[in-house]
Amino acid sequence: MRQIINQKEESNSNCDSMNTGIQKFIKSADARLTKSLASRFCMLLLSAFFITQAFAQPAGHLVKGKVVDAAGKAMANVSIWTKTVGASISKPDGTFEIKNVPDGAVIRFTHVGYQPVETKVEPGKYSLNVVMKETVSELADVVVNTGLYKRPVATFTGASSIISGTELKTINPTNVIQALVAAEPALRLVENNTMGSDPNNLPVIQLRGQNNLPTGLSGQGTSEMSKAVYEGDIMSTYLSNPNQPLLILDGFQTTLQRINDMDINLIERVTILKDAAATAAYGSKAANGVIVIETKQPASSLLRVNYSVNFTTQVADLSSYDMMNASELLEAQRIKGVYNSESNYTDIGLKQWYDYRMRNVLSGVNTDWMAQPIRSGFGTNHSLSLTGGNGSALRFSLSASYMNNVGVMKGSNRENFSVNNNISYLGRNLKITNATTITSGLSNNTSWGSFRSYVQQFPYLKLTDSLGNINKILEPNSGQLGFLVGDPGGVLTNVMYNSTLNVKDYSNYLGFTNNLQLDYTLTNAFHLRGALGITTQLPASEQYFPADHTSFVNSGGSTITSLGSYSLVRGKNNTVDGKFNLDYNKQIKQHAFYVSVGISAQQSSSYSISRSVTGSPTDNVNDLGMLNGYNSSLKPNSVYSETRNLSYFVSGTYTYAKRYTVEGTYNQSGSSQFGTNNRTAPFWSMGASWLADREHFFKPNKVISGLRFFANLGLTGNQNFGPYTYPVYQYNMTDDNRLQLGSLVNGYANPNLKWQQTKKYSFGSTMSFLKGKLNVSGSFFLDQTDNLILPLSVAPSTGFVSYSDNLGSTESRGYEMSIGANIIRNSAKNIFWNISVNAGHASTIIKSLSPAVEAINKSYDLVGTDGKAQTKALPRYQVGQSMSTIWAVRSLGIDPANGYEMFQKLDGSKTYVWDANDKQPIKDGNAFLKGSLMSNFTYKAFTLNLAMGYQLGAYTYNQTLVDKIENVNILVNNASVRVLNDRWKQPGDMVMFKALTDGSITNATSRFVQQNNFLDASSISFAYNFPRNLSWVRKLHLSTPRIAITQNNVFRIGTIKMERGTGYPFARSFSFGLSTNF
Amino acid sequence: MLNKVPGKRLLAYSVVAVVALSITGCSKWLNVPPKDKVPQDALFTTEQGFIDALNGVYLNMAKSPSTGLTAGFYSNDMTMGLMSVLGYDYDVASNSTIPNANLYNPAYLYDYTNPTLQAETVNLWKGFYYNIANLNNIITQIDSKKDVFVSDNFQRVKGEAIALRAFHHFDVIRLYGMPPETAGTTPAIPYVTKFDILTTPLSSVNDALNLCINDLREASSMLAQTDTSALVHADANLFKAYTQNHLNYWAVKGLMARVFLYQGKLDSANYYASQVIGCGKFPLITKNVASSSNPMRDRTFYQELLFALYTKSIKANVLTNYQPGSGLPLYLTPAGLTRVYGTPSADAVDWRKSSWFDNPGNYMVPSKLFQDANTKYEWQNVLPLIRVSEMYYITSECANRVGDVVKGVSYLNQVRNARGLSPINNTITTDSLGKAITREYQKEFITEGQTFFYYKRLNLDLRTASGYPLTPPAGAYVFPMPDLEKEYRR
Repeated sequence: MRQIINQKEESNSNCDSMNTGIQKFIKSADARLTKSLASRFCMLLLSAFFITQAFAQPAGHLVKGKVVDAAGKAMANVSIWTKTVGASISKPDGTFEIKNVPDGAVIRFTHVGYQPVETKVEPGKYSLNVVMKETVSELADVVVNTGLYKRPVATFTGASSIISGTELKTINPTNVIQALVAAEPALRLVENNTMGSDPNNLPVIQLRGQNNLPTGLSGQGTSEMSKAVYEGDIMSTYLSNPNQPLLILDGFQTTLQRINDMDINLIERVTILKDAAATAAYGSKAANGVIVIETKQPASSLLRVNYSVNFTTQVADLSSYDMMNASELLEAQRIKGVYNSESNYTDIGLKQWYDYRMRNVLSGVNTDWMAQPIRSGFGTNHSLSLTGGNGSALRFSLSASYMNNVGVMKGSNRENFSVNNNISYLGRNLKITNATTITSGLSNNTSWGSFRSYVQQFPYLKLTDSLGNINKILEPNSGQLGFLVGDPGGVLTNVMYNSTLNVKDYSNYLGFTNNLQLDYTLTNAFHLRGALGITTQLPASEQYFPADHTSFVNSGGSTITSLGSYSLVRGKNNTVDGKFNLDYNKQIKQHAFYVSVGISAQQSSSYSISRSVTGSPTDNVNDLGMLNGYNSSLKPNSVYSETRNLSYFVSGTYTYAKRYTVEGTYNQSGSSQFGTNNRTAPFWSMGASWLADREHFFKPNKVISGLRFFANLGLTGNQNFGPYTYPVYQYNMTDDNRLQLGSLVNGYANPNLKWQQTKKYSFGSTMSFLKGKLNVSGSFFLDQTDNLILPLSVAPSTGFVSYSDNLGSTESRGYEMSIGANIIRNSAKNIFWNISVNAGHASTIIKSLSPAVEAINKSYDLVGTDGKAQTKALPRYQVGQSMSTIWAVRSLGIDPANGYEMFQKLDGSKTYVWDANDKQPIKDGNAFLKGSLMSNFTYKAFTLNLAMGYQLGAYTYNQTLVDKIENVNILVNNASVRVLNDRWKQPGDMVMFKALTDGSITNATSRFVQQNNFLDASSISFAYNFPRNLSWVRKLHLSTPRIAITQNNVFRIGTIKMERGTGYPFARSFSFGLSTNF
Repeated sequence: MLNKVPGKRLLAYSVVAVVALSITGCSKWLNVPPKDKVPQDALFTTEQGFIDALNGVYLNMAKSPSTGLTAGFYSNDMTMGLMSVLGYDYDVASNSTIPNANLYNPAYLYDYTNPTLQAETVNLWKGFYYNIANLNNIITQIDSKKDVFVSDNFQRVKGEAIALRAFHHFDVIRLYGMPPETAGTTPAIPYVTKFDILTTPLSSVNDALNLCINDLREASSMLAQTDTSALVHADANLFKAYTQNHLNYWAVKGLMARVFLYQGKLDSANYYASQVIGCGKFPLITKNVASSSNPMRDRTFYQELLFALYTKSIKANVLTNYQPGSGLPLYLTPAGLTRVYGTPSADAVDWRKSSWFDNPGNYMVPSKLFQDANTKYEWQNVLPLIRVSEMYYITSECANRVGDVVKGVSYLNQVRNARGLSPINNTITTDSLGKAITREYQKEFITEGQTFFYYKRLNLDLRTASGYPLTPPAGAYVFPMPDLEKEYRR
């Protein structure tokens, strides 16, 4: 209920509640409007940038007055509407003046949180005193916006969370997704330990568990497109993560990239829809839940400028690393036997190397390689918006934002620039809004290479030569040194050298979005809405590495003119979305009806072309056309994908006596992705809710003040799969039949392929105690997903080995809970302290699979035999097991007698031999409980906010421990200091790690399955609102200046010690923000 | 909430109606074929599309990387590679340093349980049926698109596709079915005529052969409607050029003779073989064309070929098999050469012996199929699949098996004459003539993979018939059906 309370505080004049909104349209009057709608609209666009008094004013009287609230206090910014004059607002002292008001005109006063007032101008009475009463503070005021229709929250039968933009901003002032994940327990960010805090790596999010098998297993998400292109394409972005919730931005489906790159200051609020009742209207796209994001709409006000700036510093968090220093490494290498050989000659040669390196160590060389590619990233975000339209039917807003997310590795950053303009016209029955957004993004990747290569570098090697040059090869070779044998680890290259070269590695895009929305009030009850959205995005990426780049060091035998590479990708993503909705809202005594009917159509296409050429002997040859040419294996590649969707829905809600609500939704979705024999799919949901606290028997009491129950079930779909339904032919380009080309069918396309469907059950309750001081809400869910698309083996005599069919099923279950408490609520002294705790759990069990998956499991098991290493805990998919189960061979630990690892076979017997067939489910990687703690403390103008995330009962295969201690090859890589200290040395040692001299590879073993509980202080922020009456504030004409200091990823306490951010370090960020209105 | 406007309400209701109605008839709009690939619907809108699909099968007979074969399909396994090893064409298949030894060594022992050989037999099965699926797709689609074809192309494409379907199935029967003598009514192989993922029931060898004949009769009547007046070589119309590289009208007749003979229907076999011989379009060579100077060297006796595959991968396969970088090539020892071609004194100079082998050392490396870019274009890269000489052997065998040795010898002598050999006496016994025919098969079809099928058809003892030095295991003639196929039929 935390959201609801905040929502109340958060609402401003444009966030109309349902009823007031409708009445506003009805009661106002503009008779001329419908005459020439089109021409009016054109004029409206033309005049967008010139807000003037564009409308003629007929003769009338000057009406003056004052607006006050029930307590007699003057009310500012009350919207005042008259038919002939248009809109205006009351002044800060509550007074107003309207010119040219004819007798008999109706003046309408509205303010959010207050009941509207209408006054008819009587002849002679031109001075008005208006008293506005507060609307009774009840749940019905808050509206759940599903993106397709709105419902009062009290009558809503589904589970949803509403989070305001301001709330998000306090958690993370720069990134929407990070903030959302911190605020909502049902939303999970799949942590990417390799990519760390790389600003150019989009996160992977899931809502209420994962209903789908991982990509690749089912052929889903296999996009041949470059990352730069698919991240900007609606279809591909969902293909790449089939568990991604549907993202709706201002009514239209959008990409995660768009949300990631958007200015958080523009967000009005976010609604997270979790179960069938809330999402069924989206039909075949709704199975993973829906996140609805609404941006701020222009308010009726005087010209107002809002500016905020944020300075963010990111500092790499390397606390999880404990690598050996120069002398420790050399000693570990010596113990390992790197410098020994049975051959006398070689032995002497290796000792020469040892002595050479020892001299380095003794002379004090202990290079901190990890520090080299790291910097403190200073980034800035600017957000400027201008909104206006006071006193006319025309409102507008213009905003521009610039964000530069500077990563902690040198040369890596993500820059976004966007301009947005929004014009809306509010007539008597008609509202037209047109919003145009132009965005551009630039992602620069570091030229310093992977962070891993610095972690692994030997600290006894010097950074530069004696002249201070960065050398490509770190040590002189044996010939130069006069040693008998070559370097024991082979030639060691210096990745840092690449940073001195002219390397290109970036991607960018330019995007254009135009959304046109029309709201037309037909009658009191009927309300018609239409919308058209067009999005075009032009992504591109380039990568260039000259021949001198260290990645070509081992391309022995190639001629210098073929070394070096340049690849270039250009794409175009297009989406056209159209919607048409009709709402019917009517209240007849105790009966309230809300019915919405809608149809929507969407076409999205993505085209990309990529070219790669080779041969750049020097980095002066650094543009595509200058390189040598294609080598025999390279060819240009193009991908074109197009999907069309059509869907209509009917959703009806009936409420009796404001207590009992039943709700039903039906959706029919059609998609070009479905098989030709199954073009459209039906989806539905039904639900009920009961507001027990409004029952007559529920006596008002001090303990329980609110009690609501809801339950629903329904069927939703998922269509995040590739086009398997069209038979395609493939031309044979390598051969000809007497100069004729040949073409063969590519596979069996399944014309019966269906959507995946998820049956969702959900129930929950919201409760309010102690006069709203304590709010509790909880919901349980069960999601059964069927028709998962998997390969099905067929008799080879059909000509095919397998084809895609709807075979698999999974079941997710879990719950979410949140408790919000107002510990201190002292309006008199202006002290508030709110605390909220939330927790969630979701786990997914595989219910059925196709036999083809068993073959995939077997292929995983083959790894680890025949001398190959199963150094990772490879997944195994088995019916009845959780999707995230960690499979490994059960370990009995290191035998103190001999230092060998002892395993337990499936039959319980002990062995020293690792066998993939002995793998068993060890632990579930999924957290038993995951959630967050938040505290919000306000004292006068000061606000202190704290957000922490926690996870309990999760297990992880500690990969870095395996990689950095046991499977490390210290001949070429530096390792954890525990290699030297914690490994088995002599009989009797009770240790966790095998002997250093044990050269065997450590395969997936339960020894490294560790509990991964943590408490992560994701954000602490402190804000101060300067009082209006400060002299400098007044002099500068500022209205609400505010400074905020936020620190993200402050600390992390965890039960597991593993290296985090192996390819790119994680970062702690510290930001300082200023915002003000003019 | 007061002003009721009936007109507006009417409008509202009509909006609902429009929304509901607009749903129907939208499935066409939802039809979005992929644009970065060639959708079947697009391919099969033109004549060229069908021709490309047919050529796709011809090309895939040469090479089938998707099916995971070790070297090549008809361009290696079904001819100079696996089948020639199984027919004991080479003396050295047991040697571990020959190319693809891990495949040919177990093949030499007829050890079909060996994982490599087993995988190969599975992949061959997949290869046959993948081509058959492609042919079935053409055959299914073509009738409704008859109007996109001009002249006799419809009959050509459909006729050849049906004939190829029979050709592939016939080889599946010959590999995976029991020898016709012992096959009986045991279910053997599926004869697939639908493009579908539903499994076709198994047919017995005899039933499957009948289905082959049905297909071939239909193909023959389709192709009879095409221009069969002359064999075409180079032509501006690429599809109509090089008749012999298509499974053409006469090749279908030859194939029918082959199938009937396999089925033991001597009259029919003789009838079709005689028709091919009688048409006069495939005259036997009259001089040793193979020994001519390099640009004129016609080692495959091109004019005698009823049906030959054209593929550039032949050259690579020849080089791999017979000129490996290290280890021994697939070759015949001098004794092996004698085993096949007899002693020089007993037989006069056999043009095949003198022109089909190179002698780089103490061994004879087959060079019969090495027809690269130095020769005339029409001879290049051809792999004989049906020869007119086989028609003579068929008529000879048919005559001999009904006791007409004189007629049998006369047909055999026509071929012997065209190979530079002296005629054999027509007073020999039926048995001797039978052996002479066997010898001719061995000489004529070396490295073409037909000898194994000859032995299998007559259920001959491999050891005595081919000179194979070991006792072959029981079941040497039958490839096992893939486990996956059996599993799916359970």
